[in-house]
Amino acid sequence: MISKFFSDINRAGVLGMNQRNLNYIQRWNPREAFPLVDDKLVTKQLCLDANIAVPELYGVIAAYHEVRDLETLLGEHEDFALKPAGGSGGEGIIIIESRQKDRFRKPNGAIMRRAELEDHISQILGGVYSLGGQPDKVILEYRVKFDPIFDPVSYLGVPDIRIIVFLGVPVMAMVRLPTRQSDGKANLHKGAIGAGIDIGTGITLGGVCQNIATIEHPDTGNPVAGVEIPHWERLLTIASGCYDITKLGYLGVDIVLDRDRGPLLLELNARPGLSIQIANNAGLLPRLQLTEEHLPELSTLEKRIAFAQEMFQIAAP
Amino acid sequence: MANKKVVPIVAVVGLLVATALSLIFYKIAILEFPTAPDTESRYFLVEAHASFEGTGKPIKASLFLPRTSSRFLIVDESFVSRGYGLNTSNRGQNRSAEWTTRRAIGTHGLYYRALVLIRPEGNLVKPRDVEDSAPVLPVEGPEREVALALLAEARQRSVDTRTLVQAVIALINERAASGNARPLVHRRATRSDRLRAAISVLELANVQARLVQGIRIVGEQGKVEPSSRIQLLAEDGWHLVKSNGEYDDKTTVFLPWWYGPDQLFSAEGVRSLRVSLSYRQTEEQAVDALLRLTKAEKSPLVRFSLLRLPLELQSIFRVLLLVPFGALLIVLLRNVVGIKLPGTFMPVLLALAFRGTSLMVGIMIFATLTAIGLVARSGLERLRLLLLPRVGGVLTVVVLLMVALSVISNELGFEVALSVALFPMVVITMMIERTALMWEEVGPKDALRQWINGTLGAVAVYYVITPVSLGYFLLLFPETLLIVLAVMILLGRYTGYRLTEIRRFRDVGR
Repeated sequence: MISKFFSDINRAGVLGMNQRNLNYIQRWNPREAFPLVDDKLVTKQLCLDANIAVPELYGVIAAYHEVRDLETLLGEHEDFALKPAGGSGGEGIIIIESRQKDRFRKPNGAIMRRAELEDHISQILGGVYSLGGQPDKVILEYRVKFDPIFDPVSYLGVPDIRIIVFLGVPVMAMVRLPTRQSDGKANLHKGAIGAGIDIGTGITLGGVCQNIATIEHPDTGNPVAGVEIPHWERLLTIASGCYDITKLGYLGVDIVLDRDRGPLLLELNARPGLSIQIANNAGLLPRLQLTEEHLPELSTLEKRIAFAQEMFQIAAP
Repeated sequence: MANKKVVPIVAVVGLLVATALSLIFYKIAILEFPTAPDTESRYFLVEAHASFEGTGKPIKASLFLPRTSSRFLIVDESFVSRGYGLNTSNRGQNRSAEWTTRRAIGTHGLYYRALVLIRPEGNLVKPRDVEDSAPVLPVEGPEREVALALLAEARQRSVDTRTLVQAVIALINERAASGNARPLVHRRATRSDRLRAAISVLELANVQARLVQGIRIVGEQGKVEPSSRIQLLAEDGWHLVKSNGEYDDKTTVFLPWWYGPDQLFSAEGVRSLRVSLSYRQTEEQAVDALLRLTKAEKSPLVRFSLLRLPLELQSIFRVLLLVPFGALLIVLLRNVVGIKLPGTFMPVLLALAFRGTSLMVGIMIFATLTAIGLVARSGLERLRLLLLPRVGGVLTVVVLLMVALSVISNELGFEVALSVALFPMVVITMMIERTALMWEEVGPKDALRQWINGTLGAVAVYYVITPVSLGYFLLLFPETLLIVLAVMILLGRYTGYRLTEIRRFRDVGR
């Protein structure tokens, strides 16, 4: 009877939370590898060592009194992104487009006073956004100037691309498109659009917003599907390479496309969410199982990407 | 981890369940543990108090003590007698305490206290015992003549033993009143004297009877004088009889204390002797006493059971043993149903607090604390504080609120709200912090939903951990928790979908 209940999503091969936790995260993600992705500073260094491009680090604030050095750390840079090193899900991130003395301007035009910014920094340091409330650090880094390719289908913020990598094979991907509702944030919870990406071609499929199939971007009116993501093969290479540097078997890789610097790795996630299945209108399980079956053949990065592009390509309509 | 050897969980779960079930089965079937609390039984504290003045000579005092039976179960007894040597002994059918002291002057008090469990379903009929025979009350000379005459008359009025007993008692009562039974019974004979005479008469008819003295327990408390009854020996043992000769085996109001015509308390070397008996009902729980009735009182399973702990500890464990059930419910709600609940087992802690206050009051207190706490937090936030001092500040406000709530409700006479101190303040503080953060980041709707989910989770847990009968069952059979552990292990390997995922992913693949 219960199986009848579940039969629909079972047939679609949907990966559920329990199975993800037990059969994928617990089984394939070694505990000792978690700190590599739970601290963005560590991830950044790891990527630099492996020649994976990341947003340039301007500075780190580890203690409250270092707030005084904010201007020194930023130097010439007018704009920057401020992030909690241990944050997840894009929480606690503030983007500053320009600054003048103690006034900091956000992309939506809102002005933040220096005191407000300092307060936010103090909250991050106290651990408001970190896992388990641990004391945290603040990262100041390059503000991504996003590729105009997404201009027609995003509102204000930076769209980012999430790729699920299983044992080094990019199995599923989506792009998160900010909307007015999501306040320019690429966060599905807050109303950003999730649009699946064809692993084979890098062309966007249909989108989903708040669990509802979305054909057009609500703010720009342009169709979400059919956008071809540039540098797609490089994106896949970066994603697949992250498996080699972290040894995390089940990994979420977040990449942004910068207008000038190309794909930049934003963060890695050892517990990637399941919504990507809704955005792709497909379950993860068949792809994960297929990958596991062909594991012996997937010895090199090139083979893994070729395998993914061949196996997970959506047939041209 | 992938390389660690995975123990087959079927084996572990099977072992746990088998251990638990066999222990429970052994306790119920072999040791005859009761499975439910005994709500019929009542506890009485019975006290005998003798006071007297010493004359300077050695004192030797003797007090009969009640004996345990399956209806009147003496759970605990104690003696208070400072400066006396104490010795308890069995004399024939009676048990007694002997107090001795060398020289005593001034006023003295001797106390005997017994905690007696009265069980309606217990057996009052005393099995026939070789040593348990009636003391012979011989009558001779003129008394015997009177007795024989009485017996002859009673025989005429009766057809069997039962009616004979009735007739003898009736006749003696009649004759005693009119003075016609002297010298067997005097006009001023007490009830005890008359019953004793009746026993002597019955003895002549070869009906074995004995005098039993005890106290009548009526109502919740009282001071009593010992009263006398007759017991008759039948095939299956001794039966208490009513004055109409019928067996009175169902009584729960007459606590047999000693047999024979002697006084309850006797003492040498004293004057101004006063003896009083009293009883009062107490609110003890009847479970541990039930265990004493089981066949294997000496079995380690009984001796090392929770029921041997002091009652206050037992009541703590009655709650603690239920916590895993609450945790199990939370696991089910989160991993099988898929409801998002705040904290790991936060609703369990909240439910424990609700248990102390009663549900509605508990929810109201919790709502008040979080609401005012949220206001306090936003006030503190405006002061721009570091995270930890701010949370500490909210905690302080919560404690102050709890104090205020207690004091105010005490003044207004709302006793229910006094137990506010049971609330886990740290949990509430974290709940306030979490709700406030969600409020800011995701919006008031989600924050409120999270709060409601947490409260509903606590209510659900409350209903799981509240039933008294489950608490008792666990107190008697704590190994039940092994089954809970087994279920937890099984759920720990559940990789199926959560119910809410049906909805979440309903359109995937369409």
